[in-house]
Amino acid sequence: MAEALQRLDAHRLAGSGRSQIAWLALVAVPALAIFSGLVFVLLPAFGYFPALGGTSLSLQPWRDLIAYPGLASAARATVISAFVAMPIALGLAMLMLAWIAPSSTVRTGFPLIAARFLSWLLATPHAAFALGLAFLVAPSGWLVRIAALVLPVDTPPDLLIPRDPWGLSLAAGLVLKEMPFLFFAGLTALSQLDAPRMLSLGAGLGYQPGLAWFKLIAPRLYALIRLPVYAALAYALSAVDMALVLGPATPPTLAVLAVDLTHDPDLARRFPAAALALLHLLLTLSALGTWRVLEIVIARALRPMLADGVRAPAPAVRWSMHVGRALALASIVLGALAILSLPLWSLAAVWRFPDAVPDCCSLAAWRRALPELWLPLRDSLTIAFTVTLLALIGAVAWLQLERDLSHRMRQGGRAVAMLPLIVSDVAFLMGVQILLLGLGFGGGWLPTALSHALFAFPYVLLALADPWNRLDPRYERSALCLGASPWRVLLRVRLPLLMPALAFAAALGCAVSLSLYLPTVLMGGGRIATLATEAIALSSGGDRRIVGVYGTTQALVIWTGFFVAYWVGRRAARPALA
Amino acid sequence: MMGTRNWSRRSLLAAGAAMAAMPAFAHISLAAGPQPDWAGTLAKARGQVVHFNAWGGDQRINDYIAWAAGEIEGRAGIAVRHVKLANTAEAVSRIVAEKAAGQVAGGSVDLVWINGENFAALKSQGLLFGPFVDLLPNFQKVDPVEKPTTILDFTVPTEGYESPWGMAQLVFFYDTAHVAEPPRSMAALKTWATAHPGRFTYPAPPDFLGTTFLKQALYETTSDPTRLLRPAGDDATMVTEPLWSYLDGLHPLLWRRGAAFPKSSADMRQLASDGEADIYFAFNPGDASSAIAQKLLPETMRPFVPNAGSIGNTHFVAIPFNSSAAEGAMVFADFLLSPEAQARKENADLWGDPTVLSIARLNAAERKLFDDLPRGIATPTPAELGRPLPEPHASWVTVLERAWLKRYSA
Repeated sequence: MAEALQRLDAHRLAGSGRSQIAWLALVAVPALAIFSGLVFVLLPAFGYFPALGGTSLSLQPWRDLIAYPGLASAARATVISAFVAMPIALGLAMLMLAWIAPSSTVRTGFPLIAARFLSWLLATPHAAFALGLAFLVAPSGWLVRIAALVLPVDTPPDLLIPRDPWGLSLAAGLVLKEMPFLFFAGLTALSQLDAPRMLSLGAGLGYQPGLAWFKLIAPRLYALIRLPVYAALAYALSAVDMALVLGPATPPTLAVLAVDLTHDPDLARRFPAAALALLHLLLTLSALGTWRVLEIVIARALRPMLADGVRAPAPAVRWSMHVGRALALASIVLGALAILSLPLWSLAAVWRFPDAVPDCCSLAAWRRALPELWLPLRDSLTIAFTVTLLALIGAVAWLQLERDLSHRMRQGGRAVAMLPLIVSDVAFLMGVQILLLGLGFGGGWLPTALSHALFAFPYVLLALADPWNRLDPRYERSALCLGASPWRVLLRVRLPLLMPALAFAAALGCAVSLSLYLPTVLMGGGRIATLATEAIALSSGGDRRIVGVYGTTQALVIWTGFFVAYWVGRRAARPALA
Repeated sequence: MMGTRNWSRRSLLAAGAAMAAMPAFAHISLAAGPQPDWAGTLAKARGQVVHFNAWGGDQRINDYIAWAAGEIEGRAGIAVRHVKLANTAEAVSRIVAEKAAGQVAGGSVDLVWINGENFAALKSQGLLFGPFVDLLPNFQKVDPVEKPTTILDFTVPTEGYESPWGMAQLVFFYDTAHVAEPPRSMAALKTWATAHPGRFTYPAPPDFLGTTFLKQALYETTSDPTRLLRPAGDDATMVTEPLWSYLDGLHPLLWRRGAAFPKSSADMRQLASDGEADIYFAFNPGDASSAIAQKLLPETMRPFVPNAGSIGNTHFVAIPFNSSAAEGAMVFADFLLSPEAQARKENADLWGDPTVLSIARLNAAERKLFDDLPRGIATPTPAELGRPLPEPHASWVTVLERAWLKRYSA
């Protein structure tokens, strides 16, 4: 035993230098990708890119950009949608946590049903969700059609939703999609806090439970989910798929405008496009900075309240809690209806205004769509599987290599891995596209898959990190003592024990890849069509039944992944418990 | 008032026809070149993968392309992949970018559905493969004298660099359940919209149908429509001024008070289907009929054509200079021209897009394919359609699109 432990220590000492270098190499991959992307957007943004005829530095791209019609309105809609959506989504997520999972365990009954709905919302891809929501809230949409059952509505009201110029419909979509994301980020983080003890302490001091949660747990919890919050804010500013469906059109949001400019046959437009991408990066960074300042200001403002010793909420607070709960419930119901509208449309023969339900059911839309569906399905799945495999191998290597590193280095590495989610993807992806163009390589399957891996990796890493660190070290120590090599220990002990977590991380990786729109459009070079891009392309095709088929398929594939992960997790859990 | 304007439609048509005659002549001399054997092309084409970049904004057309892809796979061993574009400019942009990056072979676009300013842009920069159209056996069944726009695209001669695919003419459709008498001129449209605010709209340019609406309105409002047949110049602001003052007055009467616009023709038809608009228009005279057949529109829709006539053109397929499958693209272009494929395209239950072929050049069996077609209850008769107005010169497209964006996108 002592000998084996000595061997282990010797191995660690010898290996730590090498493993540190290997770990740094892993960290360098996302850092380099983003860095080179940003360099190649910076140069054309200032007029330099020889392949497109820009041979000297100039400010002309910026002049062209500023002269572009509607730039200010585009920026306004982008900022409004993100800054309206984020506080509401965060507030609702916190309320839901306090309500149904105050101590990180979800009780059965209503809390469990609500959590299931939220996980279902989270797993629904953005594109499909936006399409469903657009139909739900339109003046001739499902909500008005349902209202028409009791109200005399014969013509749809002339209201500017969705796609209003202020981006409020987009904000609504973002709230519904980000709220479950922040809820589950919070739920995971809650398990790191000693919530039950703190709550019982609060109760012992006479605090009303809801208030105790907000005073004792919420501030600490927020500090733990700061990165996911920043990622959500960055996503809100750069969402292209949701903005195409729910956002304004003339002009669109900045991210959509940047993509439009790169599609202009006039290649000179690529220069202001690069400038716009850079502007988007600056906007994202200043939005994150503003958010950070708001955090500080709000923390200061709330501090007296946290320490005022009041143990029962004032009536106004209690009422706003009720309103918040009602809003949270309403958003779950809205989300569920939005998702449900897609399969319903895919089975509709006819569904005219103001009928509340379609003439059901017909498989005609599925029969028509199937011949075209299988190619995007194939590309989506091959990319998703490759990306997930890459991300899993990368994450296992990363976690294995970072074991001997200091806490600071680990945190630093995680932050680098998260960069693709926080830095403006519009900016660095456009840079990568320009780089590929300069190399005479238009894009295709491989660049698409690699860019997907960049976005899927941080999710897979985070999903795996917690179970990885919590695994009882004695399993591995015993195996080493029995003479197994470190490789054998990893493959035969650690990974099998982590099978449920691996399965979940794999499903998550697939889900991320299957949902990605912008990387597919920019890196695919017109050769790659996935379910996400096809669903958006068909959304202006005038046949909601077909859109329903694509949206349903995209969501079904992702849900199936999570279901398989759940099933694998349960099967794998049994022998471990026995 | 606009109803009593001082230009005659006949002079416009005559000017258009005169322009058509010259390049047709040039085209014939071009056809006299050497004829490589079609069998060799067929042999090379077998096994190729053709990325067909085509606007994907209408499911009926997507279905048709899927059908054609299946047929050509079985008959000639060519795999056609439909790359669905939101706007054809995307494909043009990619071809231009590939040229800039020195990618002279193995380009990402093998065949592109195209016409107008996009064709003009590619042709003027020498980014097209060809001339190839005269090599296609089925092109013999096209008669450029009967249908001048099959070789004259927005007044730009095609010179064998794009193969005609379908005929288009702007047709309006109205819901007889809500509209008693359709407005047959731009002036009447404004009067109608004043009485029925919020019930009409048009797709936001640069969607091609939105731009076509601008051109139609420009024809009906500008003082000298024949000016539009020549390239836009310094007088563009003056020529287009009446259009903008017309639109300034019309926009507050539109759907969403002109603060938002549908994205495409299909998006606009969806509004008619949802009961949000009473009038819509399309470039395909059979649009409403096929939409009714597919239960996308109520059966009460009927067509009307402006009294001044409406813009008509032809849409084409072209092969980029760096196509990775030029032979496969040619064979597929030829199949799209075949009487069988053209008749299926004209079937109002499926797509309803009129053929580019000359019925007089078909044999009896081929003619029967067209005689037996369902025409649909909402398709205008040839008499109702009248002879189409020629497209303005391609350069007007950029002028109109940029000015529209500047005025109405803020």
